[in-house]
Amino acid sequence: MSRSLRYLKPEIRDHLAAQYVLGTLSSRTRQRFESLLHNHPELETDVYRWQQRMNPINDHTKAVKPPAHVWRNLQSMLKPAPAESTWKRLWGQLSLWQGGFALAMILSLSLWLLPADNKVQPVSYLAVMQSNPPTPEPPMVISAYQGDAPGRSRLHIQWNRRMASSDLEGVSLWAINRDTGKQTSLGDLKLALETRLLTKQEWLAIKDSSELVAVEGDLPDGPVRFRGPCLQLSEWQPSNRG
Amino acid sequence: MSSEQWKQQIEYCLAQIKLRHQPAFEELYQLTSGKLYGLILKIVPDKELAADVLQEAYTKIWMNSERYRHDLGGGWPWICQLTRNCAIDRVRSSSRQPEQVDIAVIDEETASDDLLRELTDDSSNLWLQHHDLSRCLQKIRKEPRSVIISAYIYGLSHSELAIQLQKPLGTLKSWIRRGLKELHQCLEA
Repeated sequence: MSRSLRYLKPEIRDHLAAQYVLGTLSSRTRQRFESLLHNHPELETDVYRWQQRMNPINDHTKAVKPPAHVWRNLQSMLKPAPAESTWKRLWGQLSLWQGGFALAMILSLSLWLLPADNKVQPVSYLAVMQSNPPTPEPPMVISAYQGDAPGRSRLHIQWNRRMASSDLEGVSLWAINRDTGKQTSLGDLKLALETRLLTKQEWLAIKDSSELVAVEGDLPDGPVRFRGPCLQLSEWQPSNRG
Repeated sequence: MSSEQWKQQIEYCLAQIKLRHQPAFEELYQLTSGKLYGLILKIVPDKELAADVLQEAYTKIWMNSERYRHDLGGGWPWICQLTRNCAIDRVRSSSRQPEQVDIAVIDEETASDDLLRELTDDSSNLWLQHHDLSRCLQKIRKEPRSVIISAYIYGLSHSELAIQLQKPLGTLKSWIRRGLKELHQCLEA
């Protein structure tokens, strides 16, 4: 029986999951086990079950106040470097080649989307969406165009044509406020496959967002399918408030 | 805040952290860091090293929150598992010598550790809320029960347990395997 097929046997899965949760697997075996978790959903279910079973023991561990420097260090990890511009910070979230690829996509999209005449608005905000788990290339770009009056701004998805498009049924899109972290619903992601109009609130949520996140289900805490930093590509026209 | 409310608050924080909400991360830290530091100190007794592990654990919670599956289980057990893994990695990479673990802590009769003593005490009130695990642990034989709880609390490997209890490695593995099987059967019954 191949190693992979062994994990189909419930008793082997359960035994490994229990030893993983107990902490008795060797480091090497545990690393291999963790890599298997992603390919064997039943194994992951078994691990969660054992975590639940054993966790009452953790509930009774006495709390000990940790040194203050731990939180200070974590805070500095979360803070962006002050010398960096927002642009640099956002690009820093992408790896070098991803950044290069995204830049090429933005440039080609910008050329494609730039107005042939002055009546067409250029892309105002753009998010290069990466899959979760990440794929070799970002699968899509979401762009927002400012309209000439409230309620006339538009949202549009462009798939990366070098990748197969995936099913967007039941996937909702959320804008994450850059200051408060508040999530604002932008509705079903698939609606943006056909360019759709944004309400004023939705437009303002995109304008103030640091990131767009697409999750499964109607709630913002569903499993994340795609996410990407939201970049401002053209000046906002205050006279046209979304 | 009741235990249930506390766990619900952790769920809420994790959902927000998945969306990179920093205030939720701070709230999670306030809610859980004391417990997690206590948990790490059982495995990594050195306070400075334990603080490093705590920082590493929260960094991983922030970075890997998307991996948490709320549809499969609770957030608190997930956080504890992630933290214990960090602590176990740290002690094993620093080549903890088995003799560094005090034999007294893993012997039910002489347990110097309050937690272990209470966990293995039939009359302990600690288990009132967790009747199932308590009942099932009491059903399995003393030796497997003792090594299972010790391995879980102190992150001891098979070989560390074997040396501490002066038993052959095969016997230890057999106790754990049999004990976990009996525990599984009892909890599923």
